[in-house]
Amino acid sequence: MRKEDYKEIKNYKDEPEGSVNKRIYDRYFLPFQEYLKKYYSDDKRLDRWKYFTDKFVKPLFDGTPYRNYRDFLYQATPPFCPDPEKLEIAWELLKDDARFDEELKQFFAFMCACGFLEDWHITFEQFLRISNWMHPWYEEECERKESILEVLNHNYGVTYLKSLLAGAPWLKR
Amino acid sequence: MTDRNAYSSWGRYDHKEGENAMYLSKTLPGNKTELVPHYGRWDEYNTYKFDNVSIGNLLDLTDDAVRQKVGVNLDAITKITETEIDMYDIPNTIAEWARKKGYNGIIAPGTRGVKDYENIILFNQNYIDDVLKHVPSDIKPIEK
Repeated sequence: MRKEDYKEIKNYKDEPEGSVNKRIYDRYFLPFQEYLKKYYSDDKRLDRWKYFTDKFVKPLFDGTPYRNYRDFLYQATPPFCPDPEKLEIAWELLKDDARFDEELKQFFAFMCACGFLEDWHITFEQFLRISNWMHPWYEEECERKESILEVLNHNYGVTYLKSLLAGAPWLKR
Repeated sequence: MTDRNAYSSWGRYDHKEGENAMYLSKTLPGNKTELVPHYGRWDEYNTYKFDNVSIGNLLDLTDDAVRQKVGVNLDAITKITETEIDMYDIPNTIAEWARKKGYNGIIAPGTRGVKDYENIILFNQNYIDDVLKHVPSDIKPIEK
């Protein structure tokens, strides 16, 4: 976000509750925990996460033969292709990681198997600690963003994290 | 484009779990603003320039008078928020309406950087095939 946009957001303070502008204002000026409670206490925020993980992540763990999964990728044409060998290695490291629920563990293993971290030249532990995890290749000027580990320390942090991960630009390009 | 039954990628002008759409930029600088840095580095992409292509029956949301008729202001369709569900709600509704009304696509104001560019969104693969039929199949990406 540019400094000009940040200044503009300050003017949204008195926008009506429920409006997009008020939500944008709250993201920058409300304490993070209050923001999460206000906007991420509803599981409806997870619709896209469920859609994405049902398509691309769960089949890697539910016994679906990899050739069937690969056939599906050919039809869906996403900008990624998880490598089954990398997936196995990542899952070995993640499967007992108590910091994450089962869905997040599977998602992170999928992410490692896609090779994103190698593209960004960072380790998984570094990825968990950076603030620009939605776009690790650049830092925004006025961004306010907690690291993944910081997010998970908050109530409703899991819903927030999953909502954002499902729309990450690295899954779309 | 990807069959919606396989995967619906969800963009500003293609509804989640609905038909996909093809997004293009009117100009090269506009395309760069659209992609960089949000989606990555410029040199990570192949970029193609289509000349002598004629496209018709597009809903022009860059036109103040059109937006007024549709009943939407510029701000509502160019907002950037953390999650798609907030920023795509209004443009998704407009795109769905435009598809039903038989438009081939939308001319939309750019939403990144200083928002000084325009994108073209096309709805239908058959229409895209038709308008691109004169483009050589061995077209090369532009040099960067």
